Amino acid sequence: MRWIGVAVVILAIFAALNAYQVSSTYAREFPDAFGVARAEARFAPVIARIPANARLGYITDLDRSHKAFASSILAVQYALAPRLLTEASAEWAVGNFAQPGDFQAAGARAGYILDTDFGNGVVLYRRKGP
Amino acid sequence: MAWITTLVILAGPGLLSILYFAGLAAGLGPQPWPVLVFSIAASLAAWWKLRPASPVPSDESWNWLLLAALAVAAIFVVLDAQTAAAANPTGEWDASGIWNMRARFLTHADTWRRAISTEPGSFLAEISHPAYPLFLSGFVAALWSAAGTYSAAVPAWFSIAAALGVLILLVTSVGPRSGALAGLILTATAYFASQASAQYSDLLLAFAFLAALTMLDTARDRPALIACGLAIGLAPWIKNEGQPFAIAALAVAVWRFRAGSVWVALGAVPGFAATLALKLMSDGRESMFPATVAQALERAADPARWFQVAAGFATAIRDAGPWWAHPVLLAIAVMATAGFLPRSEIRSRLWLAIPLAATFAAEFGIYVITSSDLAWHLSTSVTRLFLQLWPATLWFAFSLLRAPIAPPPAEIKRAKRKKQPALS
Repeated sequence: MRWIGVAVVILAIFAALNAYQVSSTYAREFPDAFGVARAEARFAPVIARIPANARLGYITDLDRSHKAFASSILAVQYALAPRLLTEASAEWAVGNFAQPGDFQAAGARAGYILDTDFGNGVVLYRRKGP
Repeated sequence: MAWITTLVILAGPGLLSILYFAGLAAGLGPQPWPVLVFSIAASLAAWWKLRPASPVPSDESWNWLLLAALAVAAIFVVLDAQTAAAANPTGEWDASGIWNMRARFLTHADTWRRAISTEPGSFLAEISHPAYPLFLSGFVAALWSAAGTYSAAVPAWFSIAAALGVLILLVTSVGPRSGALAGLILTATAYFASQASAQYSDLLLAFAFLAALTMLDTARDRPALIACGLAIGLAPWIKNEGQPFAIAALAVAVWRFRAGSVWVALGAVPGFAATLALKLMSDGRESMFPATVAQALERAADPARWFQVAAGFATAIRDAGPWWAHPVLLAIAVMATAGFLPRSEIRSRLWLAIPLAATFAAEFGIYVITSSDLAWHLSTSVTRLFLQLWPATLWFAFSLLRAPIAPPPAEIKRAKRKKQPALS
């Protein structure tokens, strides 16, 4: 019995060490795996401008069918929460662009005018007046 | 030690989240400081009034080598969690999609309803599950509101604390030497370490299951029964999987304690009331549930789905650790060599497995009838369901053993138990 106990102790410690090594490798290979920390840093200037209870339109150059769309919008939504990203009409909208392009035209197509280009693919839009 | 751990990880944060949510629902807005002060005072009062008068004596003594080994394994778990948290400070996918996202909504009087309802046009309709219980989100929101910042350290450290809490509760509930072995087997479970940094609710639920079962086993007086009820009631406030557990545990308590079960039910009131209030206030509907009974019956009649679910659970068990130190094999090795209690005594303890079996059956059944893609549903959740049940299952299995490693006969323990005061 004693030897079984000793074996269980040693194997369990090595299993915990093994899990730590696997986790370390994963952490090295996939830092910020869902892009949330990156989104928090990129959208910090928007947070300073928009009140916490606001609803925000969302304009992006990423197609909805793209596999990264869901993780991208989730990261931005988390970074901006408790503000709410919405497809409904809103006074303000944020742009999240992966590629350089005509951000003004992208906003105009959705009924917004460009308010501030914060760089790094982050743009703040305001709804066009009547 | 077990009771203090239960207070710090389960009862205190649970009460805090309920009061914080109640303040929001009552239109008082976020009131973190009054709620924090009241929760700490209530927790201290609970510690004073509900703590076990005399812990169940153990026939085992501490073995410092075993404890040192357990400490080393626990350090690896903490390092694992800390490394993962440093790489992904906001946790895994569901942490930012569900638990912490809803916590952020709960920090403002104008936005808290976004945590429990789906606004038309919101991109969160299929992501944030507004009808999910609010234990973790409410607790994190209260601390964020009090701190005035969305510090990633709050959910990250609470996630690690919940993991260590499960470990401490398991070790102290089983007994010094056997408990250290059970704890080592838990640390050898791959999902345990990975969930310690995930910032999900599954380890909290595992804690509630373990705390409720150990208290169902040892409750001897009114305060202990109330504390037991508190743990049972908080399970559905943590996750929906806590509902079948709580119903089964309450049914067992009625059968086991007869009139004493009133005190268990009384203790369960805060958790049940908060869960019920949330479900009534939320407009969230889980898309996984079939639209009609006929649809559910059609899926339930499909043997291929049952096989697929069974295979999913089998895969989760297989992947719970490396083949050379698989936690299930390690547990079997200990059990096979330690020997079991007499058959009559084992039979007298089988009732403790009923809440776990009910929870497993409910989880299995949900998979069978789910409207989600079954392969996807299994791949994204079955390992966490395993982890929810695993610590309590380990505790139950070890409670059926003659004391492993420690030589004094179990009869001493049973004789000591008989000297415990009767139910009042």
